[in-house]
Amino acid sequence: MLEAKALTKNYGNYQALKGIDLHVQEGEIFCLLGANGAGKSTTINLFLGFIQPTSGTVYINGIDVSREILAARQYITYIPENLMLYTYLSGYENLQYFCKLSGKSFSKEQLENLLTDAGLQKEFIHKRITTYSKGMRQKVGVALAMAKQSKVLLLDEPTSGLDPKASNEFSDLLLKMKENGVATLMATHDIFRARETGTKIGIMKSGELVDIINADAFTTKDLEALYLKHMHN
Amino acid sequence: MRKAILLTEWKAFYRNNIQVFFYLLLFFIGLYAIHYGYKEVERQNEVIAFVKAEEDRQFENTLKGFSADTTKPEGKRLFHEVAEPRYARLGHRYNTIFYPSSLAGLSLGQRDVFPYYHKLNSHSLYMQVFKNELVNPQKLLAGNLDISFIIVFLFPLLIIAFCYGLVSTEIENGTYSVLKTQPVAFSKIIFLKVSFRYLLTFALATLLCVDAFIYAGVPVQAALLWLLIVSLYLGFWHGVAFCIASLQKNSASNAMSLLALWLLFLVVLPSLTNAVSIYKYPVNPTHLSNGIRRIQLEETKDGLFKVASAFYQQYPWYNDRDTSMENLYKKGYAMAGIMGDEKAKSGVVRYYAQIRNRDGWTSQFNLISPAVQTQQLFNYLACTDITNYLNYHEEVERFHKRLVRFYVHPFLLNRQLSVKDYQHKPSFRWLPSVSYSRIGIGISFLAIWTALLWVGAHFILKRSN
Amino acid sequence: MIFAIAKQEITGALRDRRITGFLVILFLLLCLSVYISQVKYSQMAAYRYQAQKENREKWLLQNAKHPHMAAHFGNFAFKPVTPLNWIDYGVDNYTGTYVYMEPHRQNDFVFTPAQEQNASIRFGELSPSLILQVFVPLLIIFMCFAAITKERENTVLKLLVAQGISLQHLIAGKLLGYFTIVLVLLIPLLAGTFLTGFTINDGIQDMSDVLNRLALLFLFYLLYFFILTSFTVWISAIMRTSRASMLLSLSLWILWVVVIPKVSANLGADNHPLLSNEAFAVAIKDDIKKGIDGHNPDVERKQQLIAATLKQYGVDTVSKLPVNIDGIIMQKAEEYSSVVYDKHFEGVQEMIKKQNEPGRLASFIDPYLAIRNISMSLSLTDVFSHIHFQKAAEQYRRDFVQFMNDDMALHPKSSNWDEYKIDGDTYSQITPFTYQPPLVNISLRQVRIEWVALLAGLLFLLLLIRFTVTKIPVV
Repeated sequence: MLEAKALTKNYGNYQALKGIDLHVQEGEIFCLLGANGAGKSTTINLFLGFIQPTSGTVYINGIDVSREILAARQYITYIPENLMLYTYLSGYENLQYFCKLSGKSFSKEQLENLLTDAGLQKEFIHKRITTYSKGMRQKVGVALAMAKQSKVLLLDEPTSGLDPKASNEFSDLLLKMKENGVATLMATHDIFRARETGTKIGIMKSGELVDIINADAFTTKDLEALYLKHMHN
Repeated sequence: MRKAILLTEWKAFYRNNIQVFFYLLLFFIGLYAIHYGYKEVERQNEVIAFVKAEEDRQFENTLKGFSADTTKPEGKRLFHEVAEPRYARLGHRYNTIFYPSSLAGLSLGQRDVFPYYHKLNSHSLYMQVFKNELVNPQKLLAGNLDISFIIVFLFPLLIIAFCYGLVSTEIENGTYSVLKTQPVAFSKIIFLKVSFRYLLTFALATLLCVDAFIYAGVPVQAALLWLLIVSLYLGFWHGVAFCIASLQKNSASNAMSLLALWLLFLVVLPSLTNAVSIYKYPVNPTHLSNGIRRIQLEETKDGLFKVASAFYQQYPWYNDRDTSMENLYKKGYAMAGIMGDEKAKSGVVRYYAQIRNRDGWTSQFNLISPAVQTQQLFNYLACTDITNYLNYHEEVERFHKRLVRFYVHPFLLNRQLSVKDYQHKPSFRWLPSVSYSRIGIGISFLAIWTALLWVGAHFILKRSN
Repeated sequence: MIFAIAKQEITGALRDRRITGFLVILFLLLCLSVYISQVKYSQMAAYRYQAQKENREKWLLQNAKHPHMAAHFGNFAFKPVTPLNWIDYGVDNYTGTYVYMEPHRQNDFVFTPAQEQNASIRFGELSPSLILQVFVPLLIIFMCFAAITKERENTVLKLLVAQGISLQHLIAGKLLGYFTIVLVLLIPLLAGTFLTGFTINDGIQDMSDVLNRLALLFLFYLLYFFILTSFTVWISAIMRTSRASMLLSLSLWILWVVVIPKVSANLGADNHPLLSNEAFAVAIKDDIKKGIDGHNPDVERKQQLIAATLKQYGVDTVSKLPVNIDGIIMQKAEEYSSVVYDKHFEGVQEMIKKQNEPGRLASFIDPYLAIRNISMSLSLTDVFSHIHFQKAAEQYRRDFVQFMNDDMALHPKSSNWDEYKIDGDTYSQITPFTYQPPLVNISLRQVRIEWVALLAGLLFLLLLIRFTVTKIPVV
């Protein structure tokens, strides 16, 4: 579903990505671990088409992102570290707006159901975004992914800054999406969450994907040890 | 999807109290401007009615002289005042009037700077024609708060307030990245956002103008042309805002840049144009002092004879060979008046030519200065532009020739005026005209500006993504 | 420490390419405007000086004629250019440039420069005052809108306060820094005046008066800039974000420069409309004919005057008078019409004053209006100065007409009333028209409200800063 082939990205002389190959299947959660500046966000931005690769290709559902960006975006939902929505709209209205932008329209009931399914409390559905916490905004983002029936979820450190309960709820949502066959690529610093929710974990260092492992083959402690080992090399 | 974007923009607008406040504020200022503009016009119309009534009363009274009892001295006097061109040529005063057009209240233009009526007799024209209305110069300096001012000066500010954060607020509020992952071209969304704001401001302008059109009974064609100019001018400013937004700088620097451009188009460019035009095309009215001086005669036989012979040389058909002091004295001033005007004419012609030249240059330069251009277009359409005033002056000169023909001609031929003559007394009929060629050129330039900006903004936005 | 902050602020501003760019553009615009204005006004001065001279020669060279006829030949008063006009054009574009002066009537001042130009004149002219009054405030806003907010936004403010720097000192230092930069902009004005400004002066204005005016202009502009700088800094202190601070400052600028001047002028004019020229003329004619009180018509006035004169000389008929009764009648009529004219013109001036009143009072909420009026007044281009000139011309008219009437009265007529003639000798006894503009203290009195408003504004701002400084949010 998500595929990167020999992906490089240079900023002038600086090599942000040095030839990355990556594949995320349907129903898979691929977590990218790595230090700041390792190239996690660059990878995600390349999948989003925000930036153009220096060489190599990025495919979403077999579509070359650099060629048909709009077609590719049909399948994506993106949730950044701090998902911001239109403050003058309610969560409901935001969801409705973004759905329409993707060419999908739902009844009022359907939209409300999507939001409750994403875990948003009923009384907040029609309140302005200004009254939402960060976790609640993320839930609207997930609702959007469900509404769009996105096949791909791109997440950039979605749980940083969330309290443990919200973080846990978010992980549950991700697992639910995974069961529906969604392919997820998530950049994160949170080793614990990566192991809990991830199917595969890629460790990035200085623009290279140094290791790809199956999440269930390790305990959190082992994973941390492995990560630190890579970092020290 | 287009509908969804427009609907959301609408929500964004009406849920933003400050924006709604500015919008309504402009609406009410606009209403006041309409009221003010037409009150000014009404005031001028009242003055016109007043001088017209004076003129009518004057002729009503004076024509009674024909039926006066000439056996009595008082009756004789009355008869002479109307039948003897010697007296009538000075006593009878005619009004030349520059009537305001139906659009004048929307764009007062130069109506407050120029006198719009003249009271003339058949004596020297230049002694009478240069005058000024009673004015408060500081008020003229402040200018008129008419609807054209609202559109030219204040609407761009509203547009700036609406558009400075077009893209930057998306970036600053973080919604930018979410928006950009939608399967819709970002440039298309921004285009729709600009279009929505354009519709919003154009709706306000139209609402205000249509009010004024109905109030003043503006002909449909003129009204449509007016709205076309408004739509292009607002389009121009949205194009500017669109371009600035496309550069994707932060809100503060957008607002600053837009305001700097506002200043450029509404203050710097016009004031520079004025400065250059004054420098390149000097106008010097001090030469005209000779022409406006009261006609003087040397009232001696020699002096009068000299004037008469000079006059008869030019107009031999008036020469009645009567060189008596009485006859020469009687006619001397009329002759000197005609010759005085002729002598001063070249200076007056030069003065108006200087003004026309200056106007010609400025108007051409203003083609690349959309704000002034728009104001000019409004003035052309409302017939409150300087060209109409210059034309009016030319017409006044022609009319004065007819006055001379009506009074001085029979006077010099020793004829009396009859009731029948008065049935064909001259009357000033002139209406200002709309210069459609100038409007056409102006509108084309405005359209080019607007189109370039919108296309340019689209291009910048496409490239930056 | 205040100086350290000021210095840091200056380096910061000068390193910001946008601010230096703006500063350079403004500086160049100012120099350009000084140059353009000098050219414009020296040309105008030359035209008028030349015309005044030529018309004087014409007056002296007119034929020998009866004094009343000579008076009717008339004189002209051309509005002279004074040395500081070019700094602020004021209402110059909207006032007539010269007047034809003759017996019996006050003529209009004709040929206003605005009539020589199309609608673009209404957009204003590039005068130094435009730059100083309208553009410099924008530079100030641009420079200062983030003075405090930027420190708060990048949390430096926390650091500074934690270091023990008082907010009061911080604000004072920043103010000093910005103000120093703004000062630079006044230099071209002074340089322009000293280099070339004094050449436009036909000796009509006292040099020390010019210098006093210049010094006051300088001081008032400083005050204006200081008020704007401190106000913008204050706004940036109380607003949470730079964006909000800038929007508020800019909105105020628009309100001050565009909206309030226009609205106040229009409201004033709307509430106190002036008569039309025609109605005005009719009213004057009526008053002269029927008498000001309506019970003293000119025919009766004439008869009374003849009776009184006969009585005075103890004779019974006009022909036995040792003086020319026509001259006396004419002078008395002239005096009567002068009273009538004064009454009506004062009415008009009163009305104009009332029209301008809202704009003057608005100075308390709009520093732009205050400085605009002060600057016009000090540059001698305000309405008052124009009326002052108008009155001087009118006085001259009355004087020379009276001279001619007196001359006529002293020479009793023989058979024909215009047999008696005067010539160049008598003409030259009429001194040429010269104009003394009002002195600076008189001009200052005209804008009392405005400068009081500016000073009150300064005081208010200082108190505002003093008392709100403790409440300024640090985070």
